[in-house]
Amino acid sequence: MGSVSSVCLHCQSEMPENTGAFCCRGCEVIYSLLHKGDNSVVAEETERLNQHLIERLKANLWRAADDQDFRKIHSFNRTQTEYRLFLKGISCSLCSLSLEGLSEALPEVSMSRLNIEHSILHLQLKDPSSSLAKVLNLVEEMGFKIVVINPQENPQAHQDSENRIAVKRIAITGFLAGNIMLFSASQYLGVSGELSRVFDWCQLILFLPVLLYSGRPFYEGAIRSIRSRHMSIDFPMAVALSLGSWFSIANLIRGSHQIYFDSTASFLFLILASRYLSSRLIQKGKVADFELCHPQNQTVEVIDSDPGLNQSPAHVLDSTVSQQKESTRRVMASSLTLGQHYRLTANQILPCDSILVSDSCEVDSSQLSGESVPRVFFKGAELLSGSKLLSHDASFQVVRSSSVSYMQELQRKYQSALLEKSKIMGISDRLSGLLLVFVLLIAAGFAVWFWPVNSEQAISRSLALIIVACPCALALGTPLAYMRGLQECYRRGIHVRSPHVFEKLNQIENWFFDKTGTLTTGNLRLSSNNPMIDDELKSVMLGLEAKSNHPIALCLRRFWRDHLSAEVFNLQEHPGSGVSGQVQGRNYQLQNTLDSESGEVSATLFRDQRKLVTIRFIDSPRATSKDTLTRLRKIGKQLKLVTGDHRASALQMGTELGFAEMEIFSEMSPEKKLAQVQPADEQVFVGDGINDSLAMAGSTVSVIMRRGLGLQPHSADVSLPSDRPELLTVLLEISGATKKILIRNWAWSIIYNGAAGLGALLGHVDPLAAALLMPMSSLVMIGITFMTNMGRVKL
Amino acid sequence: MSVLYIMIPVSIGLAILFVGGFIWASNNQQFDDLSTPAFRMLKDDHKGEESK
Repeated sequence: MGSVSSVCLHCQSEMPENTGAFCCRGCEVIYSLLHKGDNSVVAEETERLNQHLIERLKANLWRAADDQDFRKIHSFNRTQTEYRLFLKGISCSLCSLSLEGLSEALPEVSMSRLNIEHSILHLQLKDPSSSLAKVLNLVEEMGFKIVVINPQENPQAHQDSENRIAVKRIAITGFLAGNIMLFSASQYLGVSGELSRVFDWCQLILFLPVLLYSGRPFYEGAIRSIRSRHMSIDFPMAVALSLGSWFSIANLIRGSHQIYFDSTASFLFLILASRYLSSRLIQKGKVADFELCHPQNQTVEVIDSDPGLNQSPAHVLDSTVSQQKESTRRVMASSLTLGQHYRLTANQILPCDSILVSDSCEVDSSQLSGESVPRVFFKGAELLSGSKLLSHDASFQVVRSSSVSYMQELQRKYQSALLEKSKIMGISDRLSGLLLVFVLLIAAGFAVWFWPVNSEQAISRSLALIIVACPCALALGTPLAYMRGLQECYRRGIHVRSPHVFEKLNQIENWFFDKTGTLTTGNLRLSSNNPMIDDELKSVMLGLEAKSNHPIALCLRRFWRDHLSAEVFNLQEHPGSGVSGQVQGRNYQLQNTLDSESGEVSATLFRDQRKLVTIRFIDSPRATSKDTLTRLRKIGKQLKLVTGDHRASALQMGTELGFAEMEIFSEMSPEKKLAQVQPADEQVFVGDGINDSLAMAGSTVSVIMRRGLGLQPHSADVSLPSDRPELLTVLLEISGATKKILIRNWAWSIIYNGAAGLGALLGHVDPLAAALLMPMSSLVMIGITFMTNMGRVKL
Repeated sequence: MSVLYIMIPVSIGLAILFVGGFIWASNNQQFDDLSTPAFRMLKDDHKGEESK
């Protein structure tokens, strides 16, 4: 029993190396809960864990979740026992299932079901008085990040019901198409006379729901495209479908056998299915991008200077009276109101525009402005929502409620800019319109010309032409190609929201890049021209910076992780200037300086007021940034750097990444970025934070590095994992390959359907031939799409 | 061949039954999550594990 190293104690899944008893935090926690007081080999381990857990429960960061208001808003049933949590961090699917063991481990939970596909946990509490906060604390301890879903704003619910409707529509269409074909096949095989008439009518009865129900998405799409005066594939589809159907019905009533119910129905089935599959692929990417870091989604400590003045006592969760006779309580950030005082701890994000009440604080606003270096603010300064607090705890007063705060404002502008953008047309949309007009003109021309010769033949041949030639390429070829591209992208972690990216990306020459967080990591690193520093000083500096969240501290701890840190007494953090403390009886001070001219960050170490050494820091580019940019330049893309950072640091990093001086635009506000981008006819913008949002909305294709805050990654056209800019070239290759498939599908269907259409005009295409030709064409297309080798696309 | 006039409604009725069953299942959210159940099956029963 001594070798517990290779499999996880809880879930028994194999682990790479001797990493401990458990594969993930989730397993650890559940195991320790299930084995309380168990005298096994890991008793010690579980003891330690339990201790940790108890501490977490004591800290009770989710305290606000037991607030009456909170529960009323977030519960999914009246008795307030049902909740849904969106979880981030579900990596080992099997282990995350241990979440379903919550009902065994906690008496409060009566049921917990996980949906891995959507990363949502359905939670049912035993009774309304059970603590939700305890469950949330535990789940967070297991290593998941939580968003408690608000039933009113649950995007997933809408999606689920849409999906259900789509699946039902496909099933019903499949059933109808299959049964229609039973009748038509027997007719092709020789059923004639009265029975054949009966079969015709049976087909019509089965076809009516196809026409009225299955075709609905196309009619709706067509109406939308007429309203917005924007051509979409739905329009020609709807025209062909209804024209073909009504001609067939008219033929049936007149007693002619020229009816095409079977091929129309089976074709509709294929299209619905392929559309559904590709929309599922897009959804998968969206789920993975669900925004978590929204600052409204955290709890903050509200300070009530006079408790008597406050709202109902039920609203107060945990009142503690401190020395200054202030009472504090934890609430959800979204419930902060104008004028309220609240306190944030280090690393929290400002939920709304506020005035600083504490003496000073240090703030990282790289997401808002693109500045790579934190800034110091003093009492009375106004800070924008979205900034991240770096130094110690600080108090603020709300000056604008969250709904009108800077971040929300920016988001609103962004949304309206996005609406404009949805009007961009793909090539296939445009081509499909052309093709429809072309085919309709030929059909009409032929009918008019042939009318004097044989009026009946004139109509039936034009009809055959419309049915055989029109919709196939438009409706099937495009979604099939997209599906293939989406699949390849999803497999590599690239989430594509709008497939028009595949058509556009390769031909766009102007590429704009944000700097901080996009091409660079946003983390500082030691500059290469630093003096040698002996180990003793290193350990002093590590000791001084041991607890700080300042980027300099993070950098030192990362770079010198092999060094021991000295024991520091009397450690003090001075926002904006650095840290000080005593080591072995001597006073040390590590002073941070930001040269506003050059934008350079440095730290100077003093011993007893005497300067010892200065080290310089620079923002580090991502490992593959330079390579990626070089490759993009090689294929003729015009690259430009657009950043909110200082001129000097923008220049330094820009030239390091290979940008020429005239290609670097610095100190850009979100509005200026948009103005910078817009003159180009078509453009790609690659960014990360809300400071890029306007420019992204104004670009033909927007790419976001997923790490952002506030900005929903899935509102960008493409999202990439933040540390892998090289996926841009992969995306380019995939979209190139997808476009090739698209063109091949189009070429095939135009040639094939052109030939079939000609046959139809010459009178060789009767319903039997159409029933054979159309699925054949679709099958060949599916074959082309999936046999095309995308393997050449390197990872 | 007049038996067909009975057989056709019967067969379509049967098919409608199946489609109805499918729609019922879909309305009951049976197809909402297609991946979790596959994992759930692989999960060990902890009660059995404890006894060893």
